Amino acid sequence: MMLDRQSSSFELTLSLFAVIVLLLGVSVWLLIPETKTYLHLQDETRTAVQTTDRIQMEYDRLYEEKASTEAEAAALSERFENRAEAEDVLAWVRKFLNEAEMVSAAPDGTFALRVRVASPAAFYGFVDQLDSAPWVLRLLSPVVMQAEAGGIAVAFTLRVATPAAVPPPLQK
Amino acid sequence: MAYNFIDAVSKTPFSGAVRKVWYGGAFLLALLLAASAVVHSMSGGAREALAKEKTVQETLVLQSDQLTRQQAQFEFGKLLRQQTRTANVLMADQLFDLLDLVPDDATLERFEFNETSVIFAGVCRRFDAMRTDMSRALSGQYRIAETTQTAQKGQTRFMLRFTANGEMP
Repeated sequence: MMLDRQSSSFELTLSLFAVIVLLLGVSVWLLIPETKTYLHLQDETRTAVQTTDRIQMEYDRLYEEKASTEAEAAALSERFENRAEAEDVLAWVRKFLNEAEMVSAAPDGTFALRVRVASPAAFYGFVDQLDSAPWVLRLLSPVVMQAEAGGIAVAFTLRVATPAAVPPPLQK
Repeated sequence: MAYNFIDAVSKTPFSGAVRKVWYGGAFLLALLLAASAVVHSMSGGAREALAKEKTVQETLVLQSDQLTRQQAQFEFGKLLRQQTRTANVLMADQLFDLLDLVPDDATLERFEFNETSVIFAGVCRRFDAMRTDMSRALSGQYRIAETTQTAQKGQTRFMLRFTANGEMP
């Protein structure tokens, strides 16, 4: 009977030990890694949400900035996209200087013109009006003024400016 | 009867306790497994949420990049237009300033302006004085590169060519 008690006590101790080892094993190999993974994912999600909020704020700022300049941007874009044909440019120049003629027109948007004005002031006035053209026009040198009977013949060149290269956006 | 002795051993007072330990262990093990399953499921949810956030981020970054490009294009165009306007105004001002140097007693017949040189041609009564005044007035930007003059009925027919400082005459 003594031997039986000792044997059963041993079985109990062994069982307790085995159960504890089993529970520890399941905890160490399954529950703890799963919990760690979950906590890590939760932390990453929290960080990702914060990052999304930051990106969203930046997007909102850019959107508001674009919305505030939309009308100006559309008008400017239209100016750059307008096709400058020689007859259109000449017709526009004739709004300000009646006696204008096209000397040459290059495919790259360079137009050599000759106008007849009463005084240089009329030509300065025309240069001031260049900004109101449906294109972005730049006055190029040479500018030649030749006295003629009752006026001045002015030869000059206009070039249609186009944004050929758009710079890449700034890196954040 | 020897086997009865063995059977009697299997019914010890502690066998119930051992069973309880194992039942308890099995219960706790089931709890642990269930908890693991729940945590695993929660991890799946968190993984999905993270993937969604990443997708939203990518979309927002793409859209922001597009907006930045559009804004950069607008700013570039705006700058180009401002530069063009400024260049036109500067050239008109320069033409005005150059022609303003011609004295009243001179009659200009030809005026040529480009980036490197300016030519005045015409007739003037006091050509030497005109040349000196113009040379002094333009000394910061230009210098006289060529002068031709011929006397004609009390006047001087002239051609004055200035070149920009730093340019070959």
